[in-house]
Amino acid sequence: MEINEINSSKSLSRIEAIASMENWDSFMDFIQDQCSTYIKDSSKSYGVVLAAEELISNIIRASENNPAVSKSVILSLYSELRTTESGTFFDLITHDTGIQFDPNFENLTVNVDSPIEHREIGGLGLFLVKSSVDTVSYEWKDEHNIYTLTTTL
Amino acid sequence: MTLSITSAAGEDYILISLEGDVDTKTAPELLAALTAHDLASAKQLRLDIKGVNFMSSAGLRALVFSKQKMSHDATVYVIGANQEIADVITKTGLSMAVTMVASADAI
Repeated sequence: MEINEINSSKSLSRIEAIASMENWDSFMDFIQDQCSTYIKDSSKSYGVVLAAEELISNIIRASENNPAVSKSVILSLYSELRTTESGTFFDLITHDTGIQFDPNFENLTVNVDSPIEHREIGGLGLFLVKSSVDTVSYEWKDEHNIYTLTTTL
Repeated sequence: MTLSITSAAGEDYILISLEGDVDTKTAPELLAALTAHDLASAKQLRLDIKGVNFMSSAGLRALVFSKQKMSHDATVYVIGANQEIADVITKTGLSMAVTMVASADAI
């Protein structure tokens, strides 16, 4: 297994708010601002925004109007630049206090060749998350869901 | 993110023109515009997205919804998709269900 040692890591910015559609514009403005500032490749920048939009949408949907959620879910977004021996990376990281949800990205597959009449719409969003960035990871830590979207710079 | 929608119906087609971003917040407006029409009877749906910068999976679901409501021989045209949106439509396999054209003149 290849291990890349982190040579440097720089936290860039952070936003934290209740995971609610009321804060949708704030979350999206943050993501678009960070991506347009630090990712010069417009295609890669679009991919990170697309993936992050989907994740945040899922987190909010799982938080609002969910009887299993007894208190407000807090969603935090972070951005960071990271340099390893392999190159320089932009990470967009989400932390939320919602119900544990592991999308199992490693084993996620969608049959994009299946006729549209037979499509299960639910898998489309997570497929887009996985396919729109270089890597995506999930971790459950300290009662938080943590998703990390990474793209090379 | 905001979305502006204009809608018109021709003899055998429905034209919906969009300006802005189609995301989780605005996609319900697109769905409402689509369901305001009799999709089952339409031969063509023309979705003009020349003015759209961003389309999330919520927007793609609206495309799938439309296609599923229309008859098998009906056609969904996506007009003027930018490169990023066209790439997403292609990699999700939705390009098999819709026809992407640069302008309405190509229909």
